[in-house]
Amino acid sequence: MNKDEMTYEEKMHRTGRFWTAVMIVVMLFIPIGICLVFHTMPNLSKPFWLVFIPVLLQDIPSGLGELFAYAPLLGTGGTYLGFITGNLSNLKVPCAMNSRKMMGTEVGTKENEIVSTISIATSAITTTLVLAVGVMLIVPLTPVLENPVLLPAFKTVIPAMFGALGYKYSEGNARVAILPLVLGITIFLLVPTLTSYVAIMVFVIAAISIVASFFMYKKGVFGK
Amino acid sequence: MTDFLRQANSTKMYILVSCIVLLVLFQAFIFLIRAWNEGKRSGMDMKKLRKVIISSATFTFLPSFAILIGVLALAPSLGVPLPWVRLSVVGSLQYEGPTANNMAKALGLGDLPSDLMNPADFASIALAMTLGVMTTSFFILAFYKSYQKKMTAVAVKDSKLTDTIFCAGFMGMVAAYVGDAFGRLRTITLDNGELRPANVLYLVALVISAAAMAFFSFIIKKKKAAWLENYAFAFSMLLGMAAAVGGQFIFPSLSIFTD
Repeated sequence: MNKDEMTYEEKMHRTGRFWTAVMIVVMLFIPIGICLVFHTMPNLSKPFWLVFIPVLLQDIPSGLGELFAYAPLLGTGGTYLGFITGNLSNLKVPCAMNSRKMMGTEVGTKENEIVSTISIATSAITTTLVLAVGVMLIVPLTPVLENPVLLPAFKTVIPAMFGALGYKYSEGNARVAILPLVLGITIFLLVPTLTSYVAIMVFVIAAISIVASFFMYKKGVFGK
Repeated sequence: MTDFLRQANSTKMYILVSCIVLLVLFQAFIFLIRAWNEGKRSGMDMKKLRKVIISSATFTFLPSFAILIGVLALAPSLGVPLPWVRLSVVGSLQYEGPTANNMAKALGLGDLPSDLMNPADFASIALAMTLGVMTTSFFILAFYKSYQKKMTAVAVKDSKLTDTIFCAGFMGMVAAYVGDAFGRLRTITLDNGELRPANVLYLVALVISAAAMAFFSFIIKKKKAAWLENYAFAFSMLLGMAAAVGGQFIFPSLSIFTD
């Protein structure tokens, strides 16, 4: 297809697929580069595989789950960039959803695509810069960031993020929000050990919420 | 500092990692510029798009420090460059630490940081951390385009249903973290046999940031303080985190972090 005939979405797919392929190759340079710098080879003995295979078996379903759950929220460009730059559930998805809510864009529209991509790109640039500056200033920053008095602040970044975002999203969508919230609180209060598996529980509760909201919508619970 | 850590923090490692990080930055700018130009071409309000940039940057600023702490947490074990690049490309705090720790234990190094670590072990850990997360990139290449087309077709059919489902899905994600804050009110025994005491600060941060957001939303609407929209989220988060810091003095026995 001629480049001028391509829609914005098709162009984003092309750019995204290209960069995803590039990043796969580039990521391989991390262990290869380490081997070159250290003049060594990885220790690929049996214990390596005994850990790596379970890691892989865990990464495959969680990777697929992340793709199916987060991609519709991130839009085309946002999905490619978000998955390349990582930190999805703890940063990119909430960031894109915040921008979407602020702009009032609807899923599936071009405006939503553009807003999501700009939001995730800005988020990726900000994180990359903060990490780069943080690494450069690691000596003076370490005592501040590791100060025990400030520890609760950094340990509670995620709940603080989802508290504010949860309120913002519930506002005006209370009928949709109530079921997932009651479900989440009840499950974790009854089985507190699940707090060790919150990354998996995100998919479980989101999937239950999606199915339940579909049937509730069809029954007219959310109004016409 | 051990010989191994000296090498892990060597200039060569910083150069290798800096090149990769620069590439990530470059491609983020490409996506940003493409989306920005398309917005312009489509006649979108550029002031609003500028607002998206400001709010996304302020939104990201504080959580980025949590990621930086993740780099610091792994630095004594793996040096600075490897955690830095792993948390800049594809990686996530939730996956990198456990993978590195499990691999170290399997290789007979014990818990990280370990004085027994040698370059071959380090390369093995880096390989496991990299290959593990790469699976998602392959899924993106294999399935995303066709999946996205199907999603768009469904979205166009009934936009209200689509919006309801997405809102429910996102609230499900929020609910998991809200539930997590409640779950931490209970003392539990972890898989490794350690006792994790009850901690109220997660809930304090959650409730205070939600309350702050409610207050800022009220001010934005009633006082027509549109400028506040860009910063309301960051301020709310900051207040939630500050409340957690204050909370440790009010609930000292419910403020112990073990993980």
